[in-house]
Amino acid sequence: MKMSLKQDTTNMSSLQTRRKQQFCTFRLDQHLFGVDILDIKEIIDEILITKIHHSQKEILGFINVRGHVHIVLDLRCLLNFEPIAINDATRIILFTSKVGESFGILVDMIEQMIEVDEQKIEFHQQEGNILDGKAQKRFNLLEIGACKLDQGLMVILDANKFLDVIKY
Amino acid sequence: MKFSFTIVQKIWMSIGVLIAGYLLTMLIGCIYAYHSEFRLKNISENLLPIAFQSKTALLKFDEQIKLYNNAILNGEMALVESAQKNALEVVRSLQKIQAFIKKNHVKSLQLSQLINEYRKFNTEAEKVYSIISQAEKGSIELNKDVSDRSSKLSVLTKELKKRISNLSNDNSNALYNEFKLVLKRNHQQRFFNIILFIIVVSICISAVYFIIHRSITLQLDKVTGILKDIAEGEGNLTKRLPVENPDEIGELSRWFNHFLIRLQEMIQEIMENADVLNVSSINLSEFSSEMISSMEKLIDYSENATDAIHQLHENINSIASSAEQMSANIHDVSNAAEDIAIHMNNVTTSTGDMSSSMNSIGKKVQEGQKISANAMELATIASDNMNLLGTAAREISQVTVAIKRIAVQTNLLALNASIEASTAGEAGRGFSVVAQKIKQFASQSTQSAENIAKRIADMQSKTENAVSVIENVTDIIGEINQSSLYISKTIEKQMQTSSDISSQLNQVNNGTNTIATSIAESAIGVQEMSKNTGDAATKTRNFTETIEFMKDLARLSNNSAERVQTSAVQLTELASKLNTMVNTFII
Repeated sequence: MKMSLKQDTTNMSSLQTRRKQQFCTFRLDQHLFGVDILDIKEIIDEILITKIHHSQKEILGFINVRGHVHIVLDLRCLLNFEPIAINDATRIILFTSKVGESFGILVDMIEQMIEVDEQKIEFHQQEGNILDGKAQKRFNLLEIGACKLDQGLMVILDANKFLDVIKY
Repeated sequence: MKFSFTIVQKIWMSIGVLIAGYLLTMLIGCIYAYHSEFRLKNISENLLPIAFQSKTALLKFDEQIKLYNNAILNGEMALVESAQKNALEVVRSLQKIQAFIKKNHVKSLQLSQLINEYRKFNTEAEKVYSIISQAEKGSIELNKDVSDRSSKLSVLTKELKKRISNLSNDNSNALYNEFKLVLKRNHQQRFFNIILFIIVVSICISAVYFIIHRSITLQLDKVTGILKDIAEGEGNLTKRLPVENPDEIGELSRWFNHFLIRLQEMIQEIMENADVLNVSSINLSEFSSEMISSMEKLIDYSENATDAIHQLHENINSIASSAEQMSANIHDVSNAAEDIAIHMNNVTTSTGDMSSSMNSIGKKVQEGQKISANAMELATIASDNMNLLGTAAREISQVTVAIKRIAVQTNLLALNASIEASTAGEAGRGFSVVAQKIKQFASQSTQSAENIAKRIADMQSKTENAVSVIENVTDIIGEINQSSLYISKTIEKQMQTSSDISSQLNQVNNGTNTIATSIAESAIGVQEMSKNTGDAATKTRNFTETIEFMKDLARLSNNSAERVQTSAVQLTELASKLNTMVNTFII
C-alpha cells in the first residue's frame, strides 16, 4: 500500500520540471550506494578483465565491450573496503563518454533503478569538514549526499570524480 | 758365522780348548823345570865336589903346615913324614879338582901350575924341615943356607896357602852364586807360571763361555721365551719356534712345533666338542626338566587315578545299592510297559492325522513361495523406475539452473533498457514502463525457477527414500522366500519323521512286549551284577594299591630326574668353563 502511494506521488511530481532525479542503486558490502542514471552508459555482467601491470591498485584493468576498451576501477579498493573475489552477482557499471574517458566501476551487486525527489536528498557540505586521511579525502570528494529510502540510507556518489580521486 | 755342530760336539770342543790351554801351561812349566834340573845337575856333578875337594886341600895343607911347625919345634922326623902324607892328599885333591875343571883351560892351567909349585915346595920343604928337625936333635947350630931356605919356604908357604885358600874361596863362591841363580830362576818361573796359567785359563774360559753362550744359551733362551709366551701369554698356539740350526735345539723346536700343531688341532677338537657338549648338556637339562614335568604330571595323574578309583569304588558301592533298587523298579517297569502298549495304539492314530495336516501346510507354503517371488520381481521393477525418476529430476534441476540464468540476464537487460529509457528523457518514459514490467517478469521467473528447484530437491529426497524402502521390501521378501523354503523343507522332514514314527511305533509295540520278557531276564542279570560289583570292589582295591606303588615309583624317578637335571646343569657349567678355558688359547 505504501509503495503504491509513493508511486502516485512520483507520477504527480513528474509533471513538474526536473524536480525528480533517477539513480541506479548498487550494493557494496551491504551498504547501499547510488549514481545518477544519466551518467551510466550500461551495466554488464561479462567480467573478463585484462590486468594492467604496474598500475595503481585501484585500477583493475581493461575490459572489451563490443570492440570498445574501458578501464575498470575497483570501487571496494577506492572506498577502502576489504577486497572480495568476483562472483555471479558482481557487475561492472560503464559510464558515458561525457563523464570522462570510457571507464567503469566494479560493484558487488546491482539493486534497481529508483526515482527520488530532490527535496529528500541531503547534500553534503564540502567546505565545512575537510578531514585528514587519504580515504576520507576521497570519500569527501566522491560523496555528493545521502538519501533515506525504505531499504536504507543510499549514499550518492559523483561519477565525474572517480577518475580524479585516483590521483590522491 | 754359523755353527753346525751338535751340543755334544760343542761341549767337547770347549773341553778340548780347556785341555789345550792346560797342556800349554804344562809344557811351558816342563821346559822351565828341565832348565833348572840341568843347572842343579851341573851343581851336583861339578861345583859341589870341586868346592869339597878344594876345602879338603886347604884343610890338609893347614894340617901339613902345622905338622911341619910341630916337627921343627919337637924335632921329630915322624911328624915330617906324616906331613908328607898330608901333602900327598893335598896333591890328590888338587888333581881331582883338575879332573873336574878340564873344560876350563885357564883354570886347569893355573891349577897345574899350582900343583907343580906345590910339588916343588913339598920336596924343598921335606928336605929343609927334615934337616931342621935333625939339627934340633943332633946339632944345635944350623948353617945359613938352611935358614935362608927355611925363610924362603915360609914365604912360599904363605903364598901357597893364600893361593889354595883363594882357590877354595873361588869355588865356594861359584857354588854359592850358582845356587842363588837357580833360586832366582825358580822364583821367576813360578811367578811367570802363575801369570801364564791365569791368562791361558781366562782365555779358554771366555772361549768356552762364548761357544756355550752363543750356540746353546741363546738358542735355549729363544725357545724358553716362546714357550713362556705360549704358557703365560693367553696361550697363543699359532706361534712357532724358529728352526735355524740342525742341532738338538733345532730338533727340539721342530718337534715342539709338531707338538704345537697337534695341540692346536686337539684344542680345536676340544673346542668343537665343548660346543657340542654344551649343546648336549643344555638339551639334557631340557630333557630332564621335561622329564621332571612329565613325572610330576604322572604323579598328578596317578593321584587323580587314585581319587578316581576311590570314586569308582564308591560308585560301585552305589551301583550295588542301585542294583537292588533297580530290581525293585523293574517290577514297576513291567507294569508300566503294559500301560505303554495301550497308549502306543492311540499315538499311532494321532500320527496319521498329523501327516495329513502336514501335507496341506506344505502346499500352502509352496504357494506363498511363488507369491514372494512375484513380489520380488515387482520390487526390482519399482526400484528401477525410481532410479529413472531420480535421473529425470536431476535433468530438470539442470534446466531450472538455465532458467535462473536467463532470468538474471533478463533482469540486466531490463536495467539497461531503463537506463536507455531515462537517457531518452520524456520520450523514453513509456519504454521505461515496459522495462519495469520485463524486470518484474524476470524476478517472477527467478522465483518460479527457485520453487521448481526446491520441489525437485524434495522429490529427489523422497525418491531416494522410496528406493531405500523398496530395497528393504526386497530384502524382507528374500527373507520370507528363504524362510518359506526352510519351512517346506522342514515339513518334508517332518512328514518323513512322522511316517518313521508310525512305523517305529509299531516296532515299539512289539518292543514293549519283548521288554516285558527282557525285564524278567534283566532281574536275574541284576542279581548277577550285584555279585560282580562285589568282585569289582575288591579288584579296585588291588588296583588302588598298584597305582600307589606306581606313584611311589614315579616319585623315585622324579628324584632321579631332578638329580639328572642338576648334573646336567653342572655339566653345562663345566662345558662353559671348558669353553672359556679352551677359548683362552689362540688357535
